[in-house]
Formats: sequence, structure tokens, C-alpha cells
Amino acid sequence: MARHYRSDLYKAQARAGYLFVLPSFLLYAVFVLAPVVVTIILSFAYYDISFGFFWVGLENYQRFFSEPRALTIFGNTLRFAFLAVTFNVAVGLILALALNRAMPAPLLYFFRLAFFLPVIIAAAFVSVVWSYFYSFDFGVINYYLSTLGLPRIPWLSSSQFAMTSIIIMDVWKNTGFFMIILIAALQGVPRPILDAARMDGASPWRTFSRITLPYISPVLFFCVVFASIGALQVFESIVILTGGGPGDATRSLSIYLVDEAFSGFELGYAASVSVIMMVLILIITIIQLVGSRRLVTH
Amino acid sequence: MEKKSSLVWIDRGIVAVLVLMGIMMLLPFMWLFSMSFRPAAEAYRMPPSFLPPTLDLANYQAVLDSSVPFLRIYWNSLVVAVLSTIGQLITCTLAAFAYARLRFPGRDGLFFVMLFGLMFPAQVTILPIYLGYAQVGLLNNPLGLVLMGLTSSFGIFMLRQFMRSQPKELEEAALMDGAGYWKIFWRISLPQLKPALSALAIITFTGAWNAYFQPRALIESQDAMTLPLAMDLLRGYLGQGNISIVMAAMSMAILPVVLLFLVAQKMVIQGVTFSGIRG
Amino acid sequence: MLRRTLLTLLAGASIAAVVTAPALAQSDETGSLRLMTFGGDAQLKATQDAVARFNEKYPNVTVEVGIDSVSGGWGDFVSRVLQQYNAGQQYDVYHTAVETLQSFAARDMFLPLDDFIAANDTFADFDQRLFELTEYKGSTYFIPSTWNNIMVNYNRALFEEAGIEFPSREWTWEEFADIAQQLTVRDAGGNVTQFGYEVPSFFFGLMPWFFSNGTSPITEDWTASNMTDPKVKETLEYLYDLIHEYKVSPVPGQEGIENQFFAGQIAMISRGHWIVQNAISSELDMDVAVQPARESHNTVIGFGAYGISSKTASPELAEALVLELLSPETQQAEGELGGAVPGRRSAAETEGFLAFPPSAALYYETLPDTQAVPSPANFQEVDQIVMRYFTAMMTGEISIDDGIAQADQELTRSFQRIARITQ
Repeated sequence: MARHYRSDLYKAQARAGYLFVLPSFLLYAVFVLAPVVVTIILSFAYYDISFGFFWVGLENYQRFFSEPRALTIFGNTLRFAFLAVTFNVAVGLILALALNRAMPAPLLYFFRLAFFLPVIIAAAFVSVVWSYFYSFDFGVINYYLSTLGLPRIPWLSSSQFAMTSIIIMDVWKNTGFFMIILIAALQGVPRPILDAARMDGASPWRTFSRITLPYISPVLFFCVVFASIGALQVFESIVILTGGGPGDATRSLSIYLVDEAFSGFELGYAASVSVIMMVLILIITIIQLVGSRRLVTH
Repeated sequence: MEKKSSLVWIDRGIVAVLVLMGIMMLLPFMWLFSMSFRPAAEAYRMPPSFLPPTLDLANYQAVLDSSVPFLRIYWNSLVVAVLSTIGQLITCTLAAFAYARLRFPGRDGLFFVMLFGLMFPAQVTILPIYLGYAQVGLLNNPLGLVLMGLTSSFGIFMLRQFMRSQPKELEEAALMDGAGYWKIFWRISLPQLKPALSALAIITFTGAWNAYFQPRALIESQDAMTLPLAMDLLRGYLGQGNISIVMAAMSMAILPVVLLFLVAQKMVIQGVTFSGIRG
Repeated sequence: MLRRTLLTLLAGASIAAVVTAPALAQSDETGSLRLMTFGGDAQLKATQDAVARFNEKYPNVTVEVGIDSVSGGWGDFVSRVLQQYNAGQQYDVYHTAVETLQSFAARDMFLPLDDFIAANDTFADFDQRLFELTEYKGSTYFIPSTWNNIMVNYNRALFEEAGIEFPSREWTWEEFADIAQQLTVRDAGGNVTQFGYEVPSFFFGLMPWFFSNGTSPITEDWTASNMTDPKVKETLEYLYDLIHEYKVSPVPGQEGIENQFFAGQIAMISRGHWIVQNAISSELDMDVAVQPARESHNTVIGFGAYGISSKTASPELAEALVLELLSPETQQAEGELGGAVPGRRSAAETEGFLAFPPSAALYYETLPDTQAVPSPANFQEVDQIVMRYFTAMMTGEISIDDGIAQADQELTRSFQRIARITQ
């Protein structure tokens, strides 16, 4: 009798579960899964409206890997992702530590606005401003550098600086997001333990590395995974500043993908580049998940 | 005593540095806003100035007088952003409730598949969507943008994390009393979700408001455009548009986002924080 | 000279024909048309006005207008149109640019218009040079609307300040470099406060420097790379020297350069007619000069053109719409709104068009010395490859010899791929 009741309950629960999940999953299947499947199929084909559709096997993939530029583009993507993730999360953490203190309400409002506003305003609306700030001959930053008697820096026109400049803007744009998540995590660290450590005369660094860090490590890890997924798809930050240049110095996979899809009209080839990008993101996420099992203290 | 006062000074030092950084974070917006009150020839003048010299609204008037139907486009953006937000709040909460609270075969598998969605950039999915929309007549229609934005992996993930951090006891008690799942969801779980929902709302709203790539692919008629596309038209072919007028249009486009944030900031910050904590 | 007189006569005759034609009666034809155009605010206005005039004659025909800002480049525009055809969502009439013509014509996407053109003598007012440039394999698929050539736009006040004569019709590369140096001003610290010239960082604007040296990055028939031509190298070195040796130009690839020109911080700039409107609103004392010569004064031309989809259900209505979009009224409005030079000669001879810049007549006078912007079916790749290496060479990221060799390789590969498709 009891068993019967339980299995009824279980069925009802399962039915409710499927019903609740249905709307979002249906939309997801139509707008994400199906297109992705189409893209994967297309990556093994050549397609042009008037010349037709041909299966070409692995030719598109071979073309990418035999492209001499592929290595640079792959390298740029990884380099950007590594640096952008590191700085976005690290600066977010430093800001969170600095802001995690009692302060007057107006100041708190000001900080929230200042650090979070870039997160919610489209890059498209501020692209003109940043290009103007970075311009070599007419830029704001170089103007102030030269009034201080310092040399002008080719922010966007030299491969030595271009990636750095892009990362600075990217951190400006995104670090506020991680800061806010990390502030909450810091507030979750139990006060008594921190107080006890201070009483024992532990240095702030020691308190941080022995108590705070282990406590917030799962959140920190979430930030790293989330930031990596975004950074590996980086598009806007680069397009609006350098468009991938000078030369190929800042070209990422997604920019190359759009170049090819929309300039060569080679849909099959572009699809294969997207598949490569998806696989790259997948591999890196899996590595991070596996690595975290070892590193993160639960 | 001495040590304490030096700590206070360090504290003040940190706050001062933060204030300085905060102002620097806002400089790009200040320049943009100040440019919207200047003639184009002053755009790149040195030294740069970050405050509006006058409050002459000529550039704003010029946006409205242009052949680009700015108010209509503004309305489209509002419709798309509001409806997408409402849609996501509904679909994501329902799904998050099921993933966090109900047991059913394949639950974790479905959730995992759903999470994959975070990894697919818009560039990958747009072409098939275009072809599909062409079949059902949703091209050149803001509702097409709404439809594709009705759910998101991020929203589901975030709400699920939030729900799992909430105590279950109330729900279990209600179940014992014979309440249905819908009732539990509606009466007990939903009210607890408020901060997370406002966070999701602002993220969805701004996401739809700012979206450029998908609208650009799916919309060609100026009457169906959204704001980021209007910026392109105002910037003009080969950049022949007037930069000050573009800045005025951008200032108007940014305004609702800033207002929304100021109104909802406390809730938003509370909500965003939960997306990451406690798996 | 004879040719020009003849053309002027023809133009005059066609205006007379238009004027004396009886006012068109309203047509009671019903139907709907879709028109895809490109550009921004200015082009949208001209198009809307033309459609309104069309609707006066055809009140029962609805015209739906789509517009692409071309902010993603012409390749992006072509992809969009290919997608429209793919999905059965093509428009009836397209306004596009020379860059795209081969990509479209090679795919049989547009109706040949030879008969239509022959049947309407109003097209005699358009310079024949423009029609020559739209031909593909012996047929004409597009009718030119407005065009742009690159001229040297200069700030007259800065010339007067420096005590230099305005550029002559005969000026050479050497004279140009010399003048640019005189127009460059430095402060006590050696920082440039006013640049003599801006080396253009867009494909279209760059072409005159190759053409005036009798060369081009790709061959004349647009089927192969021409990067290894010694004259290409010579051109690149000259431009490099303008930036790094004489230091008269900012480094290429910066935002808002035109605003610097309007603000008097750059004395000369290579642009088309599209900057005229902003020059007027910035109250700039500007004039235009021909491209300085090494071998010739040749410059580049690009133009917009109307085509009719081969899939249209109502070709006659589409033709009527095209006639209105190219009517003297529309052309005159476009010329005076700025953005491009009208394809109708008569519309470029109005007081409004000639009012500014002072030498506005030069636009049509230099038309015989223009070469079309290289527009092979893989034009977007060509554009990207050339510009990617160009900025790398001009910023000193790569030596000119290496840049040429690598660009040559990439162009060759791209042409090999496209040859597989077009043949």
C-alpha cells in the first residue's frame, strides 16, 4: 500500500517535472540544438546558393588546419582567454575584497553604479569612445601621456600592445560582474573564524590564504569557468577596437569565423570553424571541471 | 592605538583609490554624454572634456528629425526587451524549479544538455534560424526576436542554483498536506525567488536591449529595427553620419538601462550573487 | 573634347524629353514590390521620397523598403542577399554597389536589362562610362545610380596659412609629399599638432595611389594577384615614407579621422563626395583636387546600381520603380543631399550640386580618368587580405618585402578557390 502510494507520487512528480521543463526545453531545442546540428552537418559540406550542395568530408577541417594563419588565430584565442579570465577574476576579487567593508550608503551606491554600469551597457554604444581613448595620434590617453612628457604608446597599432589594450577594455567591461558575485561569497565566510584568526595574530595575507580563499574557492571556480566560456567566444571587444589587426595580431576564432562566413560566402568552411570552436570550449571546460575536483576545497 | 589609526588611514587610502577608479570607470560614459551636446567638429578636440558645455538639445532634436524612425525603433526595443524578460522569467523559473526540486528520469541529463547552450555563440545558430523564420514569416518582425529570446541556459542555471540554496522544509510540508506541484511552485518557491528574479530580469532586459548580431541578421525594415541597428543607420554609409547626433542617440539608448539599474540595484545585486554560489 | 560635347548634347536632349513628356496619368495597377537599399539616414530619405513619388503614379502598389547599413562591408551585404534568395525572401529591386556585381551576376540572380535600357532614352543622360563598368559577360544587369571617386580633399585655410598655392591639376607625387610636409605643424616638443595628409586605411581610398602609378594589387582582369609588381612595392614604400620618413600622416587605422579633418588638424584627406555634407555643416573651407600623378592622375570609382531580381513576379512594375528611383528629381535630391555624385550628368550640373566644394565640377571632369574598384567575385577576401597586410606594413609590424610576399600567397590561394566556383 505504502509502496503503491510512493510510486504514484513518483509518477506525479515525474509528470510535473516534464511539464515544468517542457516550454524551455522545446524553445531550446528549436533555437539552439537544431541550429547546432545543422551547423555540424554543414561543416562536412560545400554549399552555395547557385552552385549547389556537395559533401566534402573532412575537407573543410583540413583546410583550417593547413591554413598557416590557423596557429596564430588559435594562439590569440587562448592567449586572450587566459589573460582576460585571469584579470577579470583577479581584479574582480581585489575589488570585492576592497569593497567588502562598512561604508556610507551614498559611497556604496556610487561604487555599484561605477563598477556595474559597464557590464550592462552594450559594447556597441561605447565603441566610439574607446577607439578615441586609444587612438595613437589623436587619443585621450596618449594626449595625457605626452603632456606628462611620456612617449606615446601605439595602443592599437602595434602587435606588442594591441592585445593588452583589448584586455584592458574587456576587464573594464566585465570585471564588475565577477566583483559582485565575489562580494557575496566573501560575505558568506563565517565571521567568528576570521575574528579568531585575527586574535591569534595571523597576518591578513595568512588569514586570506588559509581561511577566506578556501571558503570562496567554489565560487571563484564558477567565475573562472563562466569567464572562460565567454572569453573563448570573444568577438565584440576585438571587433570594435582592432577588427583583429594589426595583421592577425588580435584575430580570434570567432572573428575569423565571421570573416569567412560573410566574406568568402563559404558556409561549409565557416561551419567547420564553429565546430572547432565549440570543441575547444568543451575541452577547456572539461579540463577545468576535472581540475577543480582536485583544487577546490568543498 | 597607534596601529589602529594607521589601519584607518590605510582604509581611507583604499576607499580613495576606489573612488578614483570608479570615476575612471565612468569616464567613457561621461565623454559620450558630453559629446551629445557638442557640434561634431569638437568631437576629437584636445584636451578632452567630460562635461556637457551647454544643455542645448539640438543633437537630440536632430535624431528625432532624421529619416530613421527613432521613436518607433525605441518602441520596438522596449517591446522586445520587456516581452523577452517576461518570457524568460516564466520559462526559466518553471524549469529551474523542476531541475532543483523534482525527481524524474533523465533530469540531470536534460539539465546538462541545457547547460551546453552556454557554449554556442550566436554566430553558430543564426543561419538556420534565419531560414526557419523565412518559412513562417517571422523575418522583419520584432516578435521573431522575442520568440528566440524566450528562454536561456544562463537563466535556468542561475535560478536553479538559487533554489537549491533555499531551505526545502516548507515545500516538503506542503507536499505532505497534499498540495500539488503547481501550487508549491506558485505559492512557496516563487515568492522566495524575488531577488534572483529581479537579477535575471535586468540581465535579460539589457541583453535584449543591447543585442546587435541577431537583430542585424533578421531585420531589414527600418520600422522593425531595434536601437543598436538604428545607430548603424545614423552613423551612415562610410561614416558620413554626424558623430554628435549618433552620441545623442546612444545617450538616449543608454538612459533606460541606467534608470532600471538605479531602481532595481539592490535586488539585482542580491540576485546576481546567488548565481555563483553553492552548487 | 568631342566626346564630352556629345555627351552634354545628349544630356540636354534627354532633359528636354523629360520636360516635354506629358504628365503621367495615374495607373490603377495594383500589386506590391519589395525594394532593398543600402546606406544610412541620407540614402533612406532619398529612397523614401522617391517611393512617395512612385506612389503618386501608382497609388495601388505598395512598396516595402529594406535597408542594410553596410556596416559589415559589402561581403556581408552579398551574404545577406544570398540568404534572402536561399530562403525565397528576395526583394524585387536591389540597390547595391559595384563591388557586388560580379558575385550576383555570376549566380544569375538578376535580369539582364539591355532591352529596358535601350527602350528608355532617359538613360542617355547617364555617363556611358558607368554603363561600361556594369557589364558582365556582355550583358548589363545593373543601372548605375550614384557614384563616388576618390579625390584629395583639402582645407584651403591651412594652405593659405602656410602660404602655399592650391594644388594644380598637374601635381605629382613629389610635389604632393613636399606640400604635405609644409602643411605639417609640430609643437615645441616635436609632437605633431597638424598633419599634412592622412594615408587612407580603407581599400577603396587606397586604390588611387596604385592606379596613379599604373598598377594595382590584383591584375587588370581581376583574376590573379599582382602584388609582386615592382610598382606595387614602390607605391607602398612611398606611403610608408609619408608616415615614417616625412611624418606627415598619422598611423593608419584610427577612428574618427574625418572629424580631425573637419576640425582642421589634418590638411588633406583622400575621400569621395560623401564627406561634402559634413564639411558644410562643420563650416570647413574645403575644396577638391585631382589625385597626384606618378604615371597618371588616375583615381578609383565606385558606384551604386539598381538591379531587378530574376525571381520577381512583376518585372514591369519593378522597372517602373527603377525609373522613378533614377528620375531627375531623385537624382537631383541625392546630389544635393550629399553622399555621392548623381549618375545623371544633368543632376550634377545644378546650382545646388556645384555650390560646394568650389571645384565640384572636377567630379565629372575626372570621370574619364577613373578605374573601377577591383571587384572580383572574391572581392571581400581580396579587400581583407590587402588591408590586413597594408596596416601591418604601415605600422611597421612586418617589412614591406615580407608583407608583399605573404599577401601574394594568400591572394593566390583565394583566387584558386574562387576559380573552382566561377568556372
